[in-house]
Amino acid sequence: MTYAEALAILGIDAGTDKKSARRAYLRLVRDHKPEQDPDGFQRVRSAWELVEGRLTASAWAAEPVRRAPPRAPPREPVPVAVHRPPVPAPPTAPPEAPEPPEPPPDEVPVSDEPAPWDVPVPPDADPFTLDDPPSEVPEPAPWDAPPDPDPRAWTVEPWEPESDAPPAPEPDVLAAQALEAAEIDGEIALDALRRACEAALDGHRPEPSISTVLQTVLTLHQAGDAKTANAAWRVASRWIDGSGAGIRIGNHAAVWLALGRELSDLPVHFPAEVRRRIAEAVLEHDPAGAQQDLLALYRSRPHVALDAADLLEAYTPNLHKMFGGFLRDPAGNQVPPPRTDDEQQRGSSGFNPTLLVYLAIVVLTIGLRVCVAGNRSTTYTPSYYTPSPSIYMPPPIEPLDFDVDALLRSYRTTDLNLPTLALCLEGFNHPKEACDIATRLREAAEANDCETALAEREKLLAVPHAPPPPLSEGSDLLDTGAQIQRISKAVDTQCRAGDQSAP
Amino acid sequence: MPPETEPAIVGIDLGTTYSLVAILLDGVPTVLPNAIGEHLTASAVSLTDNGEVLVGPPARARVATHPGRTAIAFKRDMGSEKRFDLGLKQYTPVELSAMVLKVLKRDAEAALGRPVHEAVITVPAYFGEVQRQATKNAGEIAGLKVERIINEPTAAAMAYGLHEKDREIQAVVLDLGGGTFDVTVLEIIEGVIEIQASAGDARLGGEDFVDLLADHTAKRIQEQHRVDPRDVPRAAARIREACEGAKRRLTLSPSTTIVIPGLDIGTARPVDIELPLDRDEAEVVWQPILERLKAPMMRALRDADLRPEQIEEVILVGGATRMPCVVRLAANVFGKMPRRTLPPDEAVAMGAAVQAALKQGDASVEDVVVTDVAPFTMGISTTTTVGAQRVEGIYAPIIDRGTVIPCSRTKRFYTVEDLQKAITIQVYQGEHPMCRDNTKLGQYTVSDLPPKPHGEQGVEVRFTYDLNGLLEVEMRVIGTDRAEHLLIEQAPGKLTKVDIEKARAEMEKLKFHPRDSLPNTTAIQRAEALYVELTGDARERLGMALAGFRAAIESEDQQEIDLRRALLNQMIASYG
Repeated sequence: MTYAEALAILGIDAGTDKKSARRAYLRLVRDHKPEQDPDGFQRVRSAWELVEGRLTASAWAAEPVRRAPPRAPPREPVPVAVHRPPVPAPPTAPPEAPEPPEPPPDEVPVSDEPAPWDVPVPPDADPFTLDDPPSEVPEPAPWDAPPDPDPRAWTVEPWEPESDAPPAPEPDVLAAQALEAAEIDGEIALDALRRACEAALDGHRPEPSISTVLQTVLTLHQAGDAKTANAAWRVASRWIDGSGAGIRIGNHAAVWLALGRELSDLPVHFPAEVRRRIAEAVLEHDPAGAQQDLLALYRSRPHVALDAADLLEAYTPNLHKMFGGFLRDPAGNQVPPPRTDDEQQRGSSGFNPTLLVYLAIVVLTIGLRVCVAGNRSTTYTPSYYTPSPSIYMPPPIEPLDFDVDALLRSYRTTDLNLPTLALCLEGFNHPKEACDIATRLREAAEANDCETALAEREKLLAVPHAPPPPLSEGSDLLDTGAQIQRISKAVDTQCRAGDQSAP
Repeated sequence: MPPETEPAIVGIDLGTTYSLVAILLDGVPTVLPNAIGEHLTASAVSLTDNGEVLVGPPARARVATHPGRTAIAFKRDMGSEKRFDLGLKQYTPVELSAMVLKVLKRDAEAALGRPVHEAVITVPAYFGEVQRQATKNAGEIAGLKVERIINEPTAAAMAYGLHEKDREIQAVVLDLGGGTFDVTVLEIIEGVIEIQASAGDARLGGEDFVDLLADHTAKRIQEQHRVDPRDVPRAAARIREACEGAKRRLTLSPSTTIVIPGLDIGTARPVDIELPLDRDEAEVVWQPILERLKAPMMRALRDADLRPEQIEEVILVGGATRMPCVVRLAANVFGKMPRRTLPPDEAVAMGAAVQAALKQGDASVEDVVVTDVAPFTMGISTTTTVGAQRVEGIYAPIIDRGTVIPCSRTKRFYTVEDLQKAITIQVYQGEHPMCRDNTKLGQYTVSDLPPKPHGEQGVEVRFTYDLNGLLEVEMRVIGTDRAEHLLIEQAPGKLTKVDIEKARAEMEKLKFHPRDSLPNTTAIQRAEALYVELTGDARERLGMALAGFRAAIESEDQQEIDLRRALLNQMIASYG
């Protein structure tokens, strides 16, 4: 079938736009229904597909700009960047940059956000095929929100011929590299983290995730290298505070961030093994194990433990609250006990006072742990229960089959007339003393009797009302006070704003 | 409209949990009632103690009391060879579905007063060729001619579009039934209902919600009593039934209690379970399923090249869409409140009735025009050379999913060896890039090719897919006039005529419970199931009513029977 034949079948001419052509196709489909006339339908459909393909392709060719890929790696910014308005402009390349004569810039965005599943078309792809272009970049998961429109996306970056230098990696890649390097070599990790944070502050996207950065810092602490770790934290905190990333995380993560911050506030001469242990605890979100280890440290090397505890108390109140107690004698005795290992080497027989002290410590620890850990209830929590659900649920929507009008009538106060007010008062039943007044008010309202209504209203306002009923009963979400206020306002509006008349 | 004496084509919604039969009467799709006067017939089959086959509500009532003799939710395994225990014998899902269809046919004939020989049956949009064939086989074993299988969301779209023909609207139909989830994007424009894309999950439905809740409850019971109740099958069945009820109650109120008295979980004495459950906790338990609901929606939108904002209306169909969390999710994804303009349980059957009428050429649906799309991709297996390496079994799609049907597509394929004599066209259906992960539909070898160097002799393959799901393959040797045909009728899972006759004879031998006594049997079964769950006064009263009913049946006094049955049903409704 040639294009001319297809146009003839559809009954349109060559200049028709896509929408009208589609309507022409659909009108024809009504005459050649797939059930009744499959061959005719197929002919019409083939004609339409040909025309549609051509119209779509010509729309592509006519488009001066192509859409930006959703996650293109940011190039090194050209010294002179041209800012264009998002309206499709004629394709003129910026005169300053060296440009090849042929291909138009292929990374210029348009004003609307790219759809999450748009993939970039390689510059040599044939625009006339109907096949999907091969996907070059990984698609974001369908339930992720589309990436935020980046204000820097308006920059036109000219197309360069392939350069030897690879493009600068994104900040999150750098941060991931930093995390990997942190276990091996602190210097490399610090360098990578510094580059990541500076790139993020410069506005390169995608931003590193706070947890990666925090984990890098904590791993450096865990490696025992205090100087590097503190330097890393300074770099990271410059980014976190500068970009406001710290505000966007949840409460849960904020706690760990604060602990990481405190760990980096500790001076360099803080005992390395304690630092290591605390860093491990924060990394694994498991302070209980660390508490036990620190207690063991206290028993074996109490001087080290007490030094650590004093430094914690001086520099880091939260860490002190968590771990200080275990670095000191839980019984509160500030004086270090005699060296137990020497005594044990001397041998013990019979009653051993240090053994008693040891038992006392163990018992107190268990007791402390139970009290500190809180009252665990015996209800079962499923393994996939997270304290904060990861998908956002909007607030409950009213069930669909309810009488909208009645509900609106009962709660809207601006247009309440007295008979409707009467309807509203039907559901009013707290507190008990007000019920009679409400009944009389209702009767007055039904009878359109303003004087009585006003009098009753005064009485109603004088009633001390009970606290709001618990929400779980589900019936009335407003508290009594608000209801009374609302009713009184309604009576006011109706009776005082001239003579009302029943509708 | 066909005259009263002509045999009718009905539309059947063969669902995972419930099935319905509907027909277009006077231009209105009407659901036909079953033997006990209800519209929904449970897709359940059970064997009574005297070897009779019970289908429908009485069988459903026996799930908790006789789990070893009752089969439910077999649609999910349609097309596979999994066997279900029914007493001492085992049956495949095709046979069980055939039993359900036979009873549906019987009830439809009784309701209409004329014979029913042909039906249009719906399947989930995501069903592959094997499962569609299995459904057709089931219909034929039951004595129905099944020429057309349509997708459930298409049926729902047709039921919806029947009333909205005069508007122009871009809509999405979300069908969350008992076992499957389907999403269809459609546009009604110029009076044509154009289905634009279809996606879904064949193993996601209301039953999964119940399963998760039952697991959660079993774990809570285990916490309390240190014994896993799932080890006892009867206990597992009872817990499941209780969770099903709890799930429904949570739709209406924000909190409920799961009450299972006298549950025998293998401890010394039976325990009484009373666990509170509120909606928030249930929604956290259901979170994995709710996440899974999003993927098909985005895929369908992507196939249709639309964004969620461009959808003007969201229609919810299927019983499980009553749940507030599902409604919220749909509202969240599309940014607008979904509507339930059609009765959620009946919409698909109504659409099937419309399709049946269309097939018959019924005048009342003369102006209904629907274009449907291919539900899956079809192609052949090819070999590619990458450098010096040859890779075989690569899938070359010829008809993409989402192509408007009926359609025809052609592609050329060439030889890989010099002087190659034959090319084997292996036809596959599926979406995976390697053929080994797709479903093979058939093959044909074109031989006696003219001898030429590799890559110079080709065969042009043309796939034609029609509305009935028949794939026709035409192979033309390029350069000659030779053409070969292959009709993919012999799809895998398709039973030959002999097999079907055999299966039908087998089914004739089965004794089906007589239709007339079905109301009585249903009432007794439901009362028995409820008796197990009640305690105290209510249980005594129910027991007495049940005994009185049984006595009435013995006495054979019809009026007495009807009276007592009505009383019993009323009790079941108020206590259950």
